[in-house]
Amino acid sequence: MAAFRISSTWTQAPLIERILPTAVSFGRFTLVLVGGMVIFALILLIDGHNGFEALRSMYDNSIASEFGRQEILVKLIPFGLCAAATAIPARAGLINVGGEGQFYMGAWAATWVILFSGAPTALLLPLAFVAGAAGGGAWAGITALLRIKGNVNEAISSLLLNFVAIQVVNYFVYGPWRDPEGPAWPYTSIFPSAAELPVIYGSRVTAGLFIVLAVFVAMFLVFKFTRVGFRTRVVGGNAEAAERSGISVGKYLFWSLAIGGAVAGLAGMAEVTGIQGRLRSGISIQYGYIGFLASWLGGHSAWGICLAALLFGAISVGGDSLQIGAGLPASSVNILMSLILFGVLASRRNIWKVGG
Amino acid sequence: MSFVADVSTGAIRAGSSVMLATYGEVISQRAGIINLGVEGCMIAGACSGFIVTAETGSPYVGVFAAILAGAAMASIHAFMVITRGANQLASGLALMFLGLGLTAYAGRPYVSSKINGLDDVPIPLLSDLPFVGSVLFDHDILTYVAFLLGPALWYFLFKTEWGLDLRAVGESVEAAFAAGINPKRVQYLAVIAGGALAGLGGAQLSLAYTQSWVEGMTNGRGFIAVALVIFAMWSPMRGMAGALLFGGAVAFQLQLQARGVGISPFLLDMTPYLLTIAVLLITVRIGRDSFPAGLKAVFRGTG
Amino acid sequence: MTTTNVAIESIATEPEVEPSQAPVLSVRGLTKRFADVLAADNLSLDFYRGEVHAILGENGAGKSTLVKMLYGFYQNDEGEIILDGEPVDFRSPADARDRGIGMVFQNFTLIPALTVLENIALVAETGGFRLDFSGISKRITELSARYGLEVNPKAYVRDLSIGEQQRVEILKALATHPSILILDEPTSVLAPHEVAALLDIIRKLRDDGFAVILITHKLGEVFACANRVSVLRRGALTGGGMLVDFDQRSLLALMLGEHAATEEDPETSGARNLLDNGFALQNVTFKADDGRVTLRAIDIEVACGEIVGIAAVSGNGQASLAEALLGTGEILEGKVVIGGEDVTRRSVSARLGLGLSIIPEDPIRDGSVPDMTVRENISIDGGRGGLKSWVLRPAEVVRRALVASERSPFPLPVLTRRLGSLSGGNIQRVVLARELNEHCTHLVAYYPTRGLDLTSTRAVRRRLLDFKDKGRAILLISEDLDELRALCDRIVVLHEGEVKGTFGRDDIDLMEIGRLMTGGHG
Repeated sequence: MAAFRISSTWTQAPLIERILPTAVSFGRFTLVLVGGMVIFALILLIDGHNGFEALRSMYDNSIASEFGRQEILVKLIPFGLCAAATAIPARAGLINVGGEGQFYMGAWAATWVILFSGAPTALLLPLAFVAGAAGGGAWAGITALLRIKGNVNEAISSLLLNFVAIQVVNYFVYGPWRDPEGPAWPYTSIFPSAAELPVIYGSRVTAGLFIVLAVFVAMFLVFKFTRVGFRTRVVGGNAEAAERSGISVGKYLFWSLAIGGAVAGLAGMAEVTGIQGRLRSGISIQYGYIGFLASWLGGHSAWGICLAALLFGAISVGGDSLQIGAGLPASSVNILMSLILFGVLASRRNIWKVGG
Repeated sequence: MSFVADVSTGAIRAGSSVMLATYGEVISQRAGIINLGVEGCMIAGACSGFIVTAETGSPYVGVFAAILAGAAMASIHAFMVITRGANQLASGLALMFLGLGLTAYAGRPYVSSKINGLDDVPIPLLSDLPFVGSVLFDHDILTYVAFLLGPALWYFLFKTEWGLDLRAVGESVEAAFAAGINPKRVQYLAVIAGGALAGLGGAQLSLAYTQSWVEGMTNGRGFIAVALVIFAMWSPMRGMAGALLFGGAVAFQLQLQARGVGISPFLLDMTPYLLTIAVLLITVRIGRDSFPAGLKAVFRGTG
Repeated sequence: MTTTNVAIESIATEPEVEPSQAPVLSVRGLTKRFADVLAADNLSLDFYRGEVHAILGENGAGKSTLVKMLYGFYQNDEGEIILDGEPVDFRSPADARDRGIGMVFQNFTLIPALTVLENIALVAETGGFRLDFSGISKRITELSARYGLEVNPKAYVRDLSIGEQQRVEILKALATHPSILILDEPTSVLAPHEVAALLDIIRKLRDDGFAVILITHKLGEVFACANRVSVLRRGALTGGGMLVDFDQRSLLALMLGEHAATEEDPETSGARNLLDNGFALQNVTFKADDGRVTLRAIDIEVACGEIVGIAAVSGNGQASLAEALLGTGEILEGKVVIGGEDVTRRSVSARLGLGLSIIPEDPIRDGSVPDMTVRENISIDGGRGGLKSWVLRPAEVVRRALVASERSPFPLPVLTRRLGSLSGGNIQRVVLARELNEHCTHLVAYYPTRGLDLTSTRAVRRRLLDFKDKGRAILLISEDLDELRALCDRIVVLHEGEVKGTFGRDDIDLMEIGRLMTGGHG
């Protein structure tokens, strides 16, 4: 009996058993990717556009060109941060679809600090950083409280709050915050140069890249090597079991959502201080939702969402070139993105069966 | 008086598309499947209905196309969730994206097209009644359909065998299977029916309400429908009331704007969404008993 | 496996209807494999009209698999099922039902949110569009009267007691005019006198010409109403025939194998060296998470060095005892004491820190994280014994898991396996091993041996007795009255959240306990 016990616990699955599943899922993913692109090309073909030419030009203008690669890194900042905004609460079992709204509120808060708080110039950027996180975090906090105290499902409430946040920003940029010197367009005045996120690479890649990479690294370390990360995973795995083992589930749910929202808020802050230089209506082109999908694609892990965000970044940059080149609406690439996601969802083994 | 009349009429006009989508989602959720992609089904219906109407000249063919489009979109979700076991929320959102992308792409040549849409059809005699006449009996045909569907759906769910089977599947797939029902078949039909109704709702939007096409014109109505189902505690009649409430909020805001009342349109734009959240807060507490048990697993992240 | 010594009158009467010569249902060479487990091994059995045929075996012997194949839940890999002389192939429960097989499930397949009428209408489909409520109502009234299955058709199933729900389950099975009726462990949820009523119903059904198949692991029931018996062990038929040819010992031997049949079950030798610093609920009124008040002014005390048993019918507040001690739910009045300290206002983790361990009612649903490995699941121990620092060193987790597995009462699965990929029994064992650890000084065990095989059951009982000898305080909540009698120093009966009686070791009267468990109604 004793010998049996020890040998069974010492046995590790042989190497091939551990590598093979990863290789298989990688192969499956490539299949999904290729399949998605083919279907997308075919859809374009139906309408008379040369689908494969379009794909080719998307590739040429994104991964294959220096400028394209830079643009991918630029997109990595909002995509990656919004993906993390979904991934972090997801580890605790929460579904955060509110990245979009949290992004907007982070941008709003950062704008307030920069233009209207009267803070000393040297502190503008760091304070904007804090404000961005606080704005997004507080907005997500509303969703968290609705869930914890009111039992309102967070997927739905965070979704609805997205629309509210967009209107909040609209109210300010059309109204009290409108640029007094410019024409009557919905944006604020330009931020002072001290409040601009410095460019670190090429012409448009800002220090926001440091932020997103730091978030990825932090995610990895926390979930793998800390007790907090372990407990979060327990909450996400079985909240009832977590409660019974002494974990304070409400706190973990709240903070995981709040931190997720803060990260999305930082994306908003990076957008207004790094790319736009001001707050305007419609600063996000579905970053929040794309981040959500990237998180699912990446299995909510730091590595996974990083790769997924890069992939979506490449597709998005390619899509921008489609708009310029072929005159197709940029949101056409949503088709490709959702095809890939469907492919992955369909290929994961989750077969539900009754009986045998 | 006329303000109330205008708001009431507007409530019905603005609410009927949401009402149809809500009915569809009630059917789907009663079978235990939540479809966040209602937005995608609705917009697919709106777009394809508009395109087909523009091409054929007949809005009725357009309506038919809209129903098919919504059903086709929903069948993707059904396949993902029922046959492949995918997470319902992720699949639904992916469907929304697919819908938004496809319709943006397919609809772009039609953005400034004019169509022979669904005009209001006043019901003879009834529409001449004072006040009630113009508020209730002077609408497009799809709105009348929306009103008739409410009680019809209620009867279906609670008084027929198919409705009972549907509810059973939504409560417990195992119990339904043991009772000889084919749960997967029921769920497929429910989700696809849901999509078809959402498509019909989209048609009302593009063929009757605005008689135009704009990328993303559903503007979150699909999500409102999902929330309304929970607000309605999965009952079709309460769903009808909820959709009218939503429509009322939209109409109220429009009327205030038209009368030059100085409230920022953006603040008013927020109200439907805030209202839905407020209502969810209240009803999630009360409606615990009518929550289809099968759906609970989805919200706990285990379904 | 113990027998039920409750004095159920043995009425192995001759059936009133002569069994026809040909069996109405037979299986030949029936085999079913699940991955690497042979759940049914070449089974050949006959079932006759007007007879009760008991399928006997301990948990995990394959009884459930057999009937699930008879009812179309599973498809057999080999062999055939013969109905009225013709081979049949059931693809789903609907098929089986159409051919005249009815099944009463162990875990009821009723839908709580629907009424009795609706639940029965679900199976009594007439193929029409409109629901024929009055027609079904009539049929229910007929069947109720004939077999003594009183129930209110308009009631919602969730409001019914367990006994009433079982009646609905039986009505549901009868509503489709079956000729064969399968009952899967029907008495597992009933109190002793309710068992007697059920056996009565079974006899009536038999006398009316049904072929009754009774799945059970309790010998007492077999002797009370069966005419024919077949014994399964590890998926195979070890013996069977007409009941009159067997006695208790021979059946036990067939069920468990010669050796195990004679091995002694662990039993307590009585309490000694009782110490303070146990745990107690003092005048506690408790509100559960769903808002219902489940305990009223209750007083229960467990001293160190004793095992106190709680006998109660499911749903009478016993689960709340664990909740109140753990710290979930709400204490409206009274005090909770652990180890001499008043912990009423303290958090779950504080109480766990004092050495409290809870074996949950449903270890899989409430105590396991399917997405994590076995190793990680063992580490979810509420800070007792591990995870002291905020840094998680993987090597540390590995080491502690090894230690835990060595000290476990039974062998654990491979530590790196994902818990969700294991069988239910294995998951249960992992949770048990985690809770029955070294640091536990105060234990609340909710039916820890439910569904476990004999070896693991005995290992758990030995561990409980071992803990008791080491001076720990144990509260054992169990639906198995025999288990309570064997292990406990005191038995407390709970009904509707109140203590209805206490029995010391020497004055345990199972019939009286059963009576109190169901509210004192005979």
